[in-house]
Amino acid sequence: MVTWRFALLLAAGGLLPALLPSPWLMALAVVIIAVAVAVIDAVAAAPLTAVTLRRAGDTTVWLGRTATVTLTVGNTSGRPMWLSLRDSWVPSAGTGNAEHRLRLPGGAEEPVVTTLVPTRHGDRPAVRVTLRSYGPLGLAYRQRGQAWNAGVTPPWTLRVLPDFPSRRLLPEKLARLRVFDGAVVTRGRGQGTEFDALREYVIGDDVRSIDWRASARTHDVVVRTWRPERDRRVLCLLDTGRTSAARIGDEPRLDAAIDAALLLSVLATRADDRVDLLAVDTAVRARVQGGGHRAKVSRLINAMASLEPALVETDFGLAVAELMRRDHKRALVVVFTALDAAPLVEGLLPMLSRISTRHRVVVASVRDPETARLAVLPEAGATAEDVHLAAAAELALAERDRVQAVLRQQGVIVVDQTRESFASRVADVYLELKAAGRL
Amino acid sequence: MTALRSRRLRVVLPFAVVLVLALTTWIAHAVQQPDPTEPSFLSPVSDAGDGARALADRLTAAGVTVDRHTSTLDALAAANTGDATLLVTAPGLVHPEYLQEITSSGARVVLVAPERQALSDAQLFVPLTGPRWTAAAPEPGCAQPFATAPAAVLRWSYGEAPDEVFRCYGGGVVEMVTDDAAVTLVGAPDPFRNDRLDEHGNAEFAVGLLSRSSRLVWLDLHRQETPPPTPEPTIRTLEPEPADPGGEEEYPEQEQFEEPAQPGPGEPQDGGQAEQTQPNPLAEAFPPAFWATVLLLALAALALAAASARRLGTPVAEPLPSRVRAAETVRGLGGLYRRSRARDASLATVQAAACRRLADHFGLPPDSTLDVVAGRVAAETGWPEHEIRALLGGGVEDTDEDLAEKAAAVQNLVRTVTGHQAMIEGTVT
Repeated sequence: MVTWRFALLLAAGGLLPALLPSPWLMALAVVIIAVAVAVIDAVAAAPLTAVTLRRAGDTTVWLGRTATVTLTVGNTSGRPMWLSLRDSWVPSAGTGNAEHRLRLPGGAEEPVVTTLVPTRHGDRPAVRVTLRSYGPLGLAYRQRGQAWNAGVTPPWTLRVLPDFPSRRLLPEKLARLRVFDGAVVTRGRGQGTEFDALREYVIGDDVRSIDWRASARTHDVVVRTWRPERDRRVLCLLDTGRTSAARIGDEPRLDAAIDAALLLSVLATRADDRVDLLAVDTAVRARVQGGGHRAKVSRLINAMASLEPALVETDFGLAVAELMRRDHKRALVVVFTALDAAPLVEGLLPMLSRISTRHRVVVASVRDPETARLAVLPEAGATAEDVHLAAAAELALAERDRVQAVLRQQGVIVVDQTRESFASRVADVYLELKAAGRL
Repeated sequence: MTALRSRRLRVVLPFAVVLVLALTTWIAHAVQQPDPTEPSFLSPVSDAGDGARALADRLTAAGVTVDRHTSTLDALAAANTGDATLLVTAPGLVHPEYLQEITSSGARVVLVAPERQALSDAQLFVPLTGPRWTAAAPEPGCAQPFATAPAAVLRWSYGEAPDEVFRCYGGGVVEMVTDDAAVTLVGAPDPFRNDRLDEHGNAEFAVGLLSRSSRLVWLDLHRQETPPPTPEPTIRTLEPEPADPGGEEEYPEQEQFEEPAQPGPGEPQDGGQAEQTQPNPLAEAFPPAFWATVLLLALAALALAAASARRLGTPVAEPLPSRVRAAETVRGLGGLYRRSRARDASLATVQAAACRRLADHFGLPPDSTLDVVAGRVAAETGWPEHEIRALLGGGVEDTDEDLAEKAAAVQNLVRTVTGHQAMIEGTVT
């Protein structure tokens, strides 16, 4: 294939027929010479089969951060190579500099760095590296088809971890946790209901916690210490159906749910509870259970990274069946869904009695501030259209209140907060339950 | 990739087959066509398939003297003496000037398959249609002595001619008189050929047509004739007089012809040559060097387009996430209310919500009636109770303005009583 230089050569040759006799012959000669030079240039270009590609770099990145992936290009042919390449990723990988030009002497290698600023969480694959080898004169080049280029591309997938803005709340929540734990010296004993240990009485201890029986056995006064329960179970049940695809502000409802679930997971793991994850729409999209404490959080984050909202109706029956199959120990089940009447009344409510008898259930939903805003007419200059919208919004709000009331009747704790305070409120509910020993 | 290739193959293959078939047929037909520049073409001395030796022999047997000439000047000279028929087997190869000479000679002339250019060169203004793919052999349809049986003469069909004498074979054979000559046009060379002489009534037709005079002058011409020498070099004095022995024809002065091989832009054009092909004036306006440069620039533009067209890899596609806002159903419902002009329903909803909020504000049970709420509000604020009741429970006139006004009044009441903040926060959790 020819480059713009070939066109320039032809255009420059256009002067010759004007200057020399027998113009048509001259024109033919110019075309023949230009084509011959281009063919020779293309033949002289280094073969594409001599290119070696190798990748290294980041495999995971938090959403909003920059990742770099290095593509090492090698030339195994003996000739110098003028190479132009495009490192194509999916658009949501946010490739900053996809096109690179480089000159490789025979046998040399050169790294090419592609920076990525992903715009969505999940797996972002590298799709194709397209190679183009120019001749020494730059008149013609070699390039092969899409399938061939896809074949030589070294595979690479960047896992983009979900945005976790409520990370900043973590120190405050952990501090509260330590207060319950008794690790921070407050008034007397640590809160909690679980027996921890016996120790010698020191002045300042609550006299009510003196264990007289143990004191009788020893020659000292001994007190009991308490701590919150450990090894409780927390299950985050994420609804990834159609209601999770709806946007609140600039992000899907699912992203807010993932953020809150992450905060809850980290907190509960620090409190020595076991956190499991189940993501369900018409099928189970992610399931994390069991395993060691230490690796749990990273497993949860990884599982949540790959979640995408699906435009299907969520099958809560499947979710409940999954729950029932697990061990029979009591758990805190946090259902991240939307408080929309139809899916909840038809999907979740009939199943609720089966799980709420055995588990503590929290239904958490992000509130859409736009509906509340639509319900309020402007103080002056309202039109009939505004009134119709306000009526529709009032209906939606009333419906939401009814759903909440029904859920509360069933003994469910409902969290309905705007995006800003959602994750914090979910964490607070957990901490309150933990402090009260009701997990 | 293989699926793509097989799909492309499925599209391309039928077209390719049809194209190859059409091309093969066309090439075969073109090869089969007799070529007047072949030495054997309708030559009285050739035994080849497209020769006419058999016809010449039969004519000789019928008592006709066959006189073969290879130059038009010789043939003209021979035809002008005595009772003779001049057979021109390839009118397209005769120089236009001679053609006119032939048709104005005193002889009986037979032109074999003259085409449009040859007819106009010969000053015979006969419309013609064709050519057909092959020569047809229709019934004679006239009462001429040679027209006794069908003959393969209809490849070109000639229309109504001025001074027409007869017309046979559906326009395949037409005779007309010009100034001195009787010119017969035959629409196809097929009846004269060795290999086709015995088909249909070709032999009867050919022998009958050509034996109408006792002598047949056969112009056996196989290459484009050189132009006749110019008798009066009054303008072009640079041209030397060719040493042609037969160059002493007297031509009228206005019938000078340009040499077609050298169309110089600066040379003066002579008048009275309507039949001559006129050179394109635009092409004449610029020198060839200009056109060569234009061609090269056009090729350069084409190369530039080709260079820009090839991408360094096609764009990558991926499924997009949903862009639907959570409040979309609320907006949709509002739109439905507006379209059905449900003003009563809208106002009632706004009023009910206001009642609920007021009841909540004053700590009344949620199912309190309108009267209870209105009474409580009146007691708290001192406003007339009937006005508050009308505001919270009244209907709406059937106009948009009234609806907007009443709904705004309802919400303003709630705002005044409870304070703005509670409204924004929505219902209590």
